[in-house]
Order: sequence, then C-alpha cells, then structure tokens
Amino acid sequence: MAYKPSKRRMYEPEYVGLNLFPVMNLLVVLIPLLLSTATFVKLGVIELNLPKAASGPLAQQTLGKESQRSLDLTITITGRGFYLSSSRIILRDPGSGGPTIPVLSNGAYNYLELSTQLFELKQKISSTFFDSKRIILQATRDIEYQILVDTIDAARSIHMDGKQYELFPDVVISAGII
Amino acid sequence: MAFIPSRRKKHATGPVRVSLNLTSMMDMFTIIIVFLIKTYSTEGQLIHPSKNLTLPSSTVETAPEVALDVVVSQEWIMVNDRPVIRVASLKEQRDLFIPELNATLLKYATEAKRIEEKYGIKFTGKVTIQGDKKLPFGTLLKVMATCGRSEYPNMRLVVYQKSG
Repeated sequence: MAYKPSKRRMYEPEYVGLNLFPVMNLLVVLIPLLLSTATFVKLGVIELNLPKAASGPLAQQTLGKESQRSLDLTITITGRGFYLSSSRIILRDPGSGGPTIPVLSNGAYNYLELSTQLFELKQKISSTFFDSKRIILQATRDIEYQILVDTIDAARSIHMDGKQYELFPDVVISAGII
Repeated sequence: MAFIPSRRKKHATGPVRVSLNLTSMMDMFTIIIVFLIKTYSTEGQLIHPSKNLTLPSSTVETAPEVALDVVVSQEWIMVNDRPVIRVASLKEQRDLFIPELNATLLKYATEAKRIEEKYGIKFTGKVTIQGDKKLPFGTLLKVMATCGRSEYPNMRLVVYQKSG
C-alpha cells in the first residue's frame, strides 16, 4: 500500500517574487542621465557697482555735491587688519592706534568682529544717510581675492541668533590702490 | 517504520527557478534617484568655471547669468576663453588701465552693439569675472578698472556657493 502524501507538504506557501525588471531598466537609464546632468558645485555671483572714479570727471562732480550727506563708509583691508572709516572719521584701535580690527594672532582676519562692528554701526546710522546701504572696499595690492570675497560676505549680512540681518549689501570697490 | 527515501529520485531535482533578491538594490536606487532629482536643476549650468583656476567661495545666493566671460587665472587673462595677456606682465605696471584687454573688450562691445541693432538683443554691458582665489587685489582691480572703461561697467564676480 502506497504512503499517503503528507498534508503538510501540500500547503507550503509559495514564494511569489515581484517582477522588478521594468523598474530596474528604468532606474538603470535614469541614474546615469541624472548623474551626467547633476551640478555638484553651485556657482553664485557677487554684483558690484562700478568704481565711481573710473567713470570720469562728471561723476566726481555730482559725487561732490551729494557727499555732504553721505556716509562713505569704507573698509580698508591691509596686511595688519581692517580699517573702518567714513567721510568724517577713521576708527582706530584705541589701544595701539593700529587697525580698527587687527588680524588674529594666527594671522587670520577677524570677519566676525567686522560684522559685529558694522551691525552696531548700522543700528546707529539707520537711514539718516542716503548711502546707508553702501560700503566701499579698499585693499592693499597684495590682498588675496578670497580675503576680499570673505570681507564682502562679512559686510553684506550678519547671522545672529539664527536670524540673518542685512548690513551693507551695495558693495563698491574703490578704484585706488594704497 | 521510517520512510526510506527513494534512491532513484535523489538526483532528479529538475530545473529550479532561482530568482534574484533585488529588494536591497531597489532601496539603494530609490535613495540615489531621490537625491539626484533633488539636486537636479532645470537650468543647467550657465557659467562653466575654467579648469585652471579655483574660484573663491562665498555665501551669496544670487544665481549667475550669461554674460561676457573674463577669466583671470594665475597665468593668463582670458576673454571668452581666448587668452589676451599674461598676468605676470601686469605686475610691474602701475597704471590701472590694460590696453590689450581694453582692445579685446571693445571688439566684443562693438559686436554686441551690432547684434543689438540687427536683432534687438539689448547690450547691457554685463561682464562676469572669474578670478583665482589667490589672485592679488592689485591685478583684479586693474582688470575691473579696464572693464569699467571699456563699456562693460556691470561687473559680477563669480564665486562658488558655500553650502550651509
């Protein structure tokens, strides 16, 4: 007499696999396509205004009339640090008479201090001057481009308590070399 | 009595359907594709950074736009990828004005104005400056002053955007 087949064997659940091949085909095509068009480095641009002195004697004249109420806030980048000045006064380090914000002991520029000082200044002047958004940048001839860009960043806005405050977004690069 | 396995059936297993387990691969691909779609920009890149220079990085968020391309690398000043003058030869010069660059820029300006007359594409005098991050300020200023005096007063400095 033959053995009766076991009932347990009959009800074994069968594994049903999803047919993923169409999806795989799609992904294999899509991934190289997106990879080839992906931009991993994002570029930006800093908009500059024309150096005023470069536009000739006419601009000089009109500038002369308006400058009675202008602030002409200027940052001068030197090898020793930042000098802050306006049309009336040059701020100096009260102790040594050196730059307003001297370089740190490791030779790095103190951008944070620059932003903070400009922020305090911005609170004081608010909008009494017509050029209260403008800042003029000067530098000695051997200052590196990256330092200039970092200074522009520091002068444009400040991050405080998780908020971003606008400082002096209109950056003008002065035409003279010191 | 125990069941004795059949000796004849022992090797007769027949073809077995083996299916690949693709689940983990699918997971991976899904994550990659979501990442790539997120970073995908519809505009593509309008400005291509030149190979032989490193742009400075900045926190600006202004997007670049197409304009005349002035590249100041460590060795050459190039306008639209054509070399104009060696940077080294500017070191001695005290004057801010670079005659060679001025001539090239004016050529592009006349061309752009001719196109404006013919096809009505406005000539705005925009120029993008790509400078190496180690470039001294003196050189950069000479280039900028020359651009300003050669009908290209709208200057933009191209930088890498710092993330975060």
